Amino acid sequence: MRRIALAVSFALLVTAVTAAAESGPAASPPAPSPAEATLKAWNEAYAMLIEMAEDFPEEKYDFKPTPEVRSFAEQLLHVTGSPYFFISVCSGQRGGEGPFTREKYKTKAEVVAALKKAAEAGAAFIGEQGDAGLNKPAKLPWEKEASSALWVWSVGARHASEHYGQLVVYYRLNGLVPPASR
Amino acid sequence: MKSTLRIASLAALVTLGAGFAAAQQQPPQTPEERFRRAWSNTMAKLVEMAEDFPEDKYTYKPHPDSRSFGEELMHVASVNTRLARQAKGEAVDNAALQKEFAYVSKTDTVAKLKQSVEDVKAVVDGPDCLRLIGALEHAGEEYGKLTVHYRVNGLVPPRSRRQPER
Repeated sequence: MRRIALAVSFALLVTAVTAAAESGPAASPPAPSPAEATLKAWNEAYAMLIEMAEDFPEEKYDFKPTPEVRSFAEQLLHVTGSPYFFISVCSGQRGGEGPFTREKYKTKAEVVAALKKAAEAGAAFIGEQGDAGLNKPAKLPWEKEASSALWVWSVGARHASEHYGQLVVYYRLNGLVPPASR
Repeated sequence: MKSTLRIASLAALVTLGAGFAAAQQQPPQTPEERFRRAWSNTMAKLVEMAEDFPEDKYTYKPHPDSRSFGEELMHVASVNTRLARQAKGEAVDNAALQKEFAYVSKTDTVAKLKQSVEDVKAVVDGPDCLRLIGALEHAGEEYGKLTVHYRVNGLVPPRSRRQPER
């Protein structure tokens, strides 16, 4: 919902800026570069996940909707590992302190800290690469053809959003209201 | 003369074929192309779920305050429709839109979701498509929610039947 409000606000902003540009000499702000837009999407997606990680009660961290799916903590550890995977796809270098398993990250504090560090690692990589670096070829292992690092990171941001959506339902199944809905 | 024409036709066919093959293999290059591919993938996943999920579970809600499976899909359809109408300069009345996209049945939901994807296509294919990035991420969140609706109902999401979850 908050994201839709943001999208609508952005659309209104675009309309206002366009109208201002048509009616007077005021220059419209430059559109964000592809790297800037990707970094923004990345930071927004991970900020929402970090907010949940910090907010969700620790005694419910091992909740699973059904036995065959990831628990709340395992979902967070999954999105903790993914930035390092995307970095390795783009650079060949795998960082991070994996494996991101519950056995290794036992407490809520450890999970939150690892998630924050991973989010920062992803953001730092996007920022360092910029448009030039992100235009270099990169290929996700499950895709038939190579694309670019920019595509890889846009997939990364959307991947995080999908897991965020899953965790919204984990909240509701526990009778809790997700932070963004309060 | 006839053989010259035949050779010319063959050459044209080869050129067209090569162009088509190149287009098929060409990865998306521009941010707009990447966005369009991502949008198309996400909407296809949602339509697949809409068609696949059993109608008798369409009113399932994980919590009384949550949207049901059908209501989540109608929510996505209403967002698409809002964007399409706003792009055409039409005024959108919130209450009327909510009424128009109230859940009725699986058939109605599938039809309205598909229609909304068609309706918003002009914006997605247009030069300002990147302003829909927020809507794309929102659709991804809705998709994530619905995968849990599947699991809680003892069902496996379509995509997870074809490949391991990532």
